[in-house]
This record gives sequence, C-alpha cells and structure tokens, in this order.
Amino acid sequence: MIRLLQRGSIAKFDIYLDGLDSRKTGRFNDKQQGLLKLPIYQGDDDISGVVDLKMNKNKKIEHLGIRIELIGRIEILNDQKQSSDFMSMGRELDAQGILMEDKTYKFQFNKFEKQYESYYGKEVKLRYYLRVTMNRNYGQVKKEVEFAVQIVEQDQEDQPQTSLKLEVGIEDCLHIDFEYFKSRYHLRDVVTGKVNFYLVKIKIKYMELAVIRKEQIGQGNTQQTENDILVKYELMDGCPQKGEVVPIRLFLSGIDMSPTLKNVSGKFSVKYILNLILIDEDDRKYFKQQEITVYRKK
Amino acid sequence: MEEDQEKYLEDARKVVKEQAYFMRASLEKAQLKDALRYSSAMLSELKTSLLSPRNYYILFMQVFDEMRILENYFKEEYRRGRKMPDLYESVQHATYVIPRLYLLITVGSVFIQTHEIGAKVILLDLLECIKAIQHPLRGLFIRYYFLKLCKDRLPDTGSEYEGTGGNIDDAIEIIIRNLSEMNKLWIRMQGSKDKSKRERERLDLKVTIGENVTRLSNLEGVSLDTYKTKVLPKIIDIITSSKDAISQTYLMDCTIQAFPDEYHLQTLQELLKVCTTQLEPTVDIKNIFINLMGRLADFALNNDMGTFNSEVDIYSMFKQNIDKMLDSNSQIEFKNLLDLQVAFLNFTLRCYPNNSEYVNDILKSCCRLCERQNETDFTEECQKNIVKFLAMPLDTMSLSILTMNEYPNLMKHLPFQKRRQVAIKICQAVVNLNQVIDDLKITGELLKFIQPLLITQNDYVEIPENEFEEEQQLVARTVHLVQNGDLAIHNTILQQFIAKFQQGEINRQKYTYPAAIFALFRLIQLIAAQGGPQTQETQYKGLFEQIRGLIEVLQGHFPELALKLNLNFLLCINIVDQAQEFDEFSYDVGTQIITIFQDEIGDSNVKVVLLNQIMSTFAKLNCISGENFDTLAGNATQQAAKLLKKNEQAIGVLNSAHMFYNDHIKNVQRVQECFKKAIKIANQSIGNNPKFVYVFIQILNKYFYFFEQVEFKDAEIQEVIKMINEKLPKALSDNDEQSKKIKILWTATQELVRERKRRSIQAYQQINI
Repeated sequence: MIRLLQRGSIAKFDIYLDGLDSRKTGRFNDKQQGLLKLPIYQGDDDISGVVDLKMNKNKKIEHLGIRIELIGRIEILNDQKQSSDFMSMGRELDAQGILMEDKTYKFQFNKFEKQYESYYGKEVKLRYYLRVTMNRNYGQVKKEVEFAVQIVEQDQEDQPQTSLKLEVGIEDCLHIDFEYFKSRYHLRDVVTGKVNFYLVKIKIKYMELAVIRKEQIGQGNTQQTENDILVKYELMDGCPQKGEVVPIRLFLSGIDMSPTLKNVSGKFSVKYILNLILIDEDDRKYFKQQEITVYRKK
Repeated sequence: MEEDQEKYLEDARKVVKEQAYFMRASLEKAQLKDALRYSSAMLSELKTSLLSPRNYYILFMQVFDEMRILENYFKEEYRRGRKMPDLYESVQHATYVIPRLYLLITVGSVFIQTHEIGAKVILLDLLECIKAIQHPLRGLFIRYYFLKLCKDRLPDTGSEYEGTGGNIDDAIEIIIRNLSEMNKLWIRMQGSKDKSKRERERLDLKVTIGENVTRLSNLEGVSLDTYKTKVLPKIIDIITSSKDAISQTYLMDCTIQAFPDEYHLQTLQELLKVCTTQLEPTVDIKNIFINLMGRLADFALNNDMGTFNSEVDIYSMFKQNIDKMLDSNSQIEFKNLLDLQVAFLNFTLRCYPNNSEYVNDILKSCCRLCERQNETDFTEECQKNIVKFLAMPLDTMSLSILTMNEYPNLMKHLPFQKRRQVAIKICQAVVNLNQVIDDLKITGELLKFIQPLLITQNDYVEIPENEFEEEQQLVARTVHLVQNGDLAIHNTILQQFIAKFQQGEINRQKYTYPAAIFALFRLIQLIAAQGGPQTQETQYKGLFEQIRGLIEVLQGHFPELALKLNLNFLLCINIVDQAQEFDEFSYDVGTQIITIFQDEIGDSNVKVVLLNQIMSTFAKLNCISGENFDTLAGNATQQAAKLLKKNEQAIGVLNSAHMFYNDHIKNVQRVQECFKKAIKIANQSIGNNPKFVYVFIQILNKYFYFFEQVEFKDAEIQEVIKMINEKLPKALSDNDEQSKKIKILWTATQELVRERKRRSIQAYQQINI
C-alpha cells in the first residue's frame, strides 16, 4: 500500500494498486529518495487499482475534473531541461463538478506499453509512475505512485554466444591474453574466463577485475559520460610465471546492475565494461577494458 | 629485522584472535552473514607479505584452528537445511582472493560430505580456483590448506566418495596436480637474492609439499601396479621437469621414504635411472642412494634373503647405475662419488656378506675413479673416505680380501697419515677378528698394508709418543695371531714379520722385537710338543741364535728389557732342553744376563728387583750343566753381596740359597754358606741399627723354609733367636713405619712357629720365641 498524506490540502488521494501481494518487487537505489522497493511490471502486465479520495472534513469541493495518468519519464538529474516524458497515458476519473462526499475510483491501463526498463542511475533515471490530479480554480490536488518496469530480452538469450578474446602486451615486458567465454550476460550470470601469461617481466602484485557502469547522456558534442566502478574483484594474488593460466570467475548476482541500455529515447545509454587490471609492485596499473552486454533473463 | 618479525606476528595474531572471537559470537547467534564477514577479516591477515615462512606458518595454524569451527558450523547449517550450492556461490562473492578461497575450500569440503555433488567435481573446481594464488608463500599455504581439508574427501578406492565422486585415478590426479603446483611455487620462492637465506626458508616449508607424497602413499587404491604405472611416472615427471636441486633432492627422498620398500624393489631401475641421468648436477645423489640402499638393506635383512636375491638383481642395478655416473663426464664432485662408493660398499657388505667378488668389483670401480683424479683432488675428506673404504670390508669379511689386487692401488693415493690410519684399522680388524694368521700370501699382503707402521717411509710424519706406543702394541698383538699346524710354515710366517721388523729401527723394535721373541718362544714350545724339530727350518739352534741376535739389538738401548728377555729365553730353553744339549749356549745367555746386570743396570732399586728375578729364574734351570751352573749361581751371589745397602746384601745373599737347593740341585753346603754369609753381614750392621732385627727375622724364616731339607747347627739358629729377642724391644719402641713392619713380620713368624709346634713337627720343638 502506498500512501501519501497531503497535509493541509483540501482533499487527499490514496492510490491502491491491485494484486501487490503476489507481485514481484525490486529494490532500486534512487539517488534522491534512497532505497525504493517497487512493484515490477513486465510484458503484457496490466496495471490497475483504485483511487481513494478523502474530503478532509470539507462538506463540498468544487473541481474542474479528476484525472489519472501513467507516465514514463527520463530525468537528467543535473539538467532538468533535458528531462522529458517519453510516454503519458491518461484516464478521466470524474468530470468537472462538485464533490459532496469521499469517493473511490477504479482505474485500469491494459497491457500498457513497456518500451524501456526502469533505471535509477547516477546522473539519469528512467522512472514510471501513476499520477492522479484534481484540478481546481485555485491550485491542484495531486498524488503520485511509482512503479518499475522490467523487460525480458528473450532474443539475447537465444542468440549464440561468442567469446571475447584479447591479446595484449608491452614489448619485452608483458605478454598476456585473456578471454571471457561469453560476451553477453544475464543479470544473475557468472563471468568466466581465463588469463594466459606468456611473458611476465614486471613484478605483478595482484590482478583484479572491475565492473564499470558507463552512463552516457545526450549525444554528439554535448554528450557527457559518467563512469562508476560497481565492483572490484581480486582475481590473482602474486606474480605468475610464464605459462600460468589464471581463471576468471565473477558472480554478477552480487552486483547492483541493470541491463545494458542503448540510446534510450535518444537521451541516454548505459553500458557495462569489464576492466582487467594488473597492478605491479610500484602500484603502476596495466589494464584493458572490454564492453559486455547485460540483459534480463526470464 | 628479527624484532620486527616478532611484532608483525604478534599484531597479526591479535587481529586473528579478535576477529575469530567475533566470528564465534556470530555463529552462536546463528548470524551466518556476520560470521562470514568476520572470518573474512580474520583470513585477510593471511594476505600479509611481512612474515617469514616460519611465522607465517604459526599464523596459518592459528587461523586453521578457527576455520575448523566454521567448517563444523557449515555442517550444522546443512543439517538445518541450508543449500550448499548457494553457500558455495555466496562465499565466492568475497572481494579478496585469499579469504575467498579459504572460505571456498572450507565450504567445498563440507559440500563433498553432503554427497549432493561428486567429490571430484568440487575438488577439481577448487584446484582450478586456487590457481589465483600465484604468490609463492601464500600459494603454498592455501594449497596446504586444501590438502589438509580435502585429503579425507578423495574418491579413493573403498572410500565413501568413490563411484559418482570419481575413482582412484581422480584421487591420484588431484594430489599430483596439487603437488606439481606446490612444487612450482616452492621453487619460485628461491628468487635470486639472498640465496642461502632463501634456501633455509624453503627447507622450513618442505613438509607442506611432502605431505602430498605422503597422502599418495596412503591411498588405499595405490597398489604396486598403480604405483608403477600411474603414480611414480607422474612424480618423476614433476621431479625432472623442474630444474631445481633442492626440490629434486627433497622429492626423491620423500618418495623413497613414503612408499613401501617392495615398491622400490619393483621400480628400482626407474628410480636409479632418474637419479643418475636426469637430476641436476648439484643434487646430492649420494644421499638419495644412501637412503635407498639403507632402506633396501634393512628390508633385505628383515625379509627372506632368498626373495631379495632372486627377484631383482639389486646389486647389479646399483652397480650399473653407479658406474654410469662414475664414467659419464658429469659434474658430480669426486668427493660425492667417493661417498657414494663408500655407501654402496657398505650396502653390499650388509646384503651380500659373503660375496667377495662384489667387493672387489666395487674396489675396482673406486680405483678407476681415483686414477682419474688429480693429486689435489684428494682432499682430507676424500682421504678419509678411502680409509673407510679400505677398512670397511675387514669388519665383516675374512682377511682374504687383503689379497684383492685393488687394495694397494687405492692405498697409494693416500698420504702417510692416512695410510697409517688404514694400517691401524687393518691391524685392529685382524686383532678384533681374532682369526689366526696362517697363510703366507695373506701375511705378505698384510705386511704390505701395515708397512706404514713397520718402516719409516719417505713421507713419514712424527707421531705423538702415546699414539706411537699404541700402534706398535697393536702390531705386537698381530704377531701373536700367527699360527699354522705345519710348524715350518708357522716359522716362515713369523720370519716374514721379523724380516719387516728388522727394517723398523730401534724405536719400533722396542715393541716389535719382544713380540717376535715371545712368538718364537711359543713356536719353540710347539716344536717341543711335537717331539722336537722335524725339519731343517725348525731346528732349535737356528731359532736360539736368532733370538739371541734380536735381544742383542735391544741390549744397547734397553738393557733392562734385554735382561728380562734373556731370563725368559733361559726359561724357554729350559723347557725344551732338559738334556743340556745347549749347555754352553745357555751358559752364555746366563753370563750375558750377569754382565748386563753388572755393567748396564745402575739404579739400585731396580737392581734389587732384577737380581731377585735372576735368582728365581736360575733356581728353575736344568738346562745348564753343574759346573757352568755353579759359576753362574756364584756370580749371581757375588752380585748380591755388591748391592748398595747392607740389608739388601744380606737378603740377596740369603735368597741365593734357592739357586743351590731346588728340584735340580741339592747342594746343602752352599746353602749353609749362604746363611752364614747373610748372618755375617747382618751382624755387622745390627750394632748401629736395632731395626736390622728385621733381617734377622727374615733369616729365621728362611731357616724354617729349608728346615726339612737341610740340617743347620742348632746353636746357629739359637744365636739368631737370641739376637732377635735382644734387639726386638728396642726396635719396636718407635712407632714408625719400620717398627710396624717388623711387628707384623714378627707376629706372623710367632704364629707360624706356634702352628708348626701344634702339628708336632720335630724341628720346631726347640724353637722358643
């Protein structure tokens, strides 16, 4: 039940979504609101519920109409001008008139379009919410309730995998190749692979694997990129000799990730990068980055 | 630096203790997540690079004990319904690889015990993951941890994990892989700096690697056949593919120690081949061989020798491989090769105690080896080994090995002191064996070998007096072992010794000649026992002449010794010549004795003793005719009268009476004369010295001795008694040593008389004292 008290206002809305007991929820880390626990809608899911209107001891309220909207919105956090709704659907709950008592309205959006995944990132978020509004001559009474949309990408699952293989080195100093056995991973997947050491003349202290999230906002010259290291994972302790093969195994389930998002509504993208880093005894770093695709699996 | 170590360790131990406390507290509250967090923090202490291997081990053991608690908790969790696959995954989320893998191994061990998954699957997965630790020390320890936790989770034959969990081949594969990786890490520890410190540190850790081998040997499924076809080849692979001497040495040793001796017997050829052809030149192959030979020898002695001998020709295998090493132009040091030869000889002597052919073959190899070396290669240590090499067979084999051709060839590589040592060892062996020396050829060889003791050689070095004496006495004892039923041969052998002794100069002859002389005495007696000389060589005359010659050599330097030898000589002649065939010869010897006594002996005390011996010897003789004997005895009596002190003179003269009345002579008159003369000398002195009464008491006793054979004038005896009675009170008035002596003698004399009277012996009745 989500309830928002509108103190001092003339009336108060409550929105109750149907079937929350059986609906999956997810946790989302919102930069402004903190940790959110939201119901999740997928595929052909409808969203329906009731709106409770409380008169707050008023005998009668004149209004210009009551409306509920389902809104999908991209917010660029440090540039509100760039924020915009990418979808908006509305239903009229009550026509202009006078309310004499508390009232309950049912609403329903059948199979509403779920074009994008919900996303709560560092500089950008993509959120879905329901908004009920009562317009009056002076001012509005409003109430919003947030929910999340997740998209299962079956086609990603069905496509054959290719491995990511890369040979890198510094002449006469270091020569390795590394391989991730897959290029696409679902959110609860395991990154596996191996690193072959062919030539090691530097004194390696350790090797780690970092997962980097890259938010790209806008396009062209004005594009701004935000890199976030989600996790650093030690892969190797000490310095191997040539011929050694060190395994890579990283469980993604422990990391707070979204699927890869590509050019969402022309506004932003989210990419994931694996960064393999060798650190030598003088704390110099040698690294190589590889983009992977992350998708949601059923 | 050392102090820092203490502190680092102390700090780390403190953190471990603290985190372990929190971990256990969380476990008690069943808060697994917290417990994992604290155990991670605890395990993170093992990430340190500050500790020496020893201290790291201490820390490791502390952590290890705490991890057992966690492991047990995981087991309980499983019983309470926790899904092991989830736990196995969740510990892998840990950021740092050291805590992550320690936890993973711990969960893995429990996971296997649930039988929900095949042991092999988890074990191989763990092995794969552990590759992440490439730091040598930390890598060794995490693999050690793996081994400790998983050694009882292997799909060994007959174990609960066999079947779906894999089979013995998998078990072997898992341990071998761990061994191989640990070995690589161990070798990597060597680094390039501070070589000896690193080596020490490495040796501190060797048991962690060795435990893999031990585990392999404990696998139920490792039968002889499996060992031969699957285990040993892989171990050999690991050994030979590394080029590290410490590792090779240790793993060879470990393998030999861990597996049963029957296995080694059946794979000896492979083991030896690896040792001789595939190891680094600095590997101490000698030690490996010594260990192996030691074990096989023990095995042979504890088991049926028959099987040992027939099944596999162990001697030949060792021989071939050792020879291969000797003959290849390898870089193995001479010293080590010699050590090896010594060990091999020792082995052969133990296992084939009667096979002198083997011994000779080994000697040959050793000679070949020595021939190749430069003179400077024969260091002190090498020389010691050659000494050992030569002496060792003597302890167990008969003297016949002395006739082996190779002995002298080896000996010549040694300097004097070492040759002397060998000689002493040989002598000791001969003496200890207590075997008779009865063979001419062996005697010849023996004398050759102990030449350093017999003759001053070119490179002779002065030896301390006491050692010299000891060594010469040893030689002397050797001579006494000469014996042969055929006395002609017996004599010839003795003559061989004597011929060498003659070249030995007087300081040796002091010891060797008396020995030779007594050996000749013995021979002479043996000849007599056979009824007299049977051959030309064993005629008395020649032997007597020889003895006289030998004594004459000594006489100039050691008159007293010569005198005593002559006395013994006379006794010897006396035994064989009752017929007085050599009367004149014996007389000459007697005269010689008197001459030496008179001219060469100065010390008056010595003279008293010697004269006593001379008289008692003469008293036994029957080999000298009457007239000659009288002269000799007379001379001896005269010598008595010339002694320094009056009492000595009196007693000397008194004693000479024995020469005139014994088994051979009954010359009463001469006896009486002796008494008279003695009393006369005593009377001359008693006036000045009442203590002289002692001599009178002795005279009285001497009367008693002759009482029954010789008639004395009663008055003469009474005179003596009177003198005693008169002087005794005065003599006893002092309380000094002499008075006591007198008193004791007088009391004994009184007792004797009393006793004789009681038995009613006639002559004593008129003696009143």
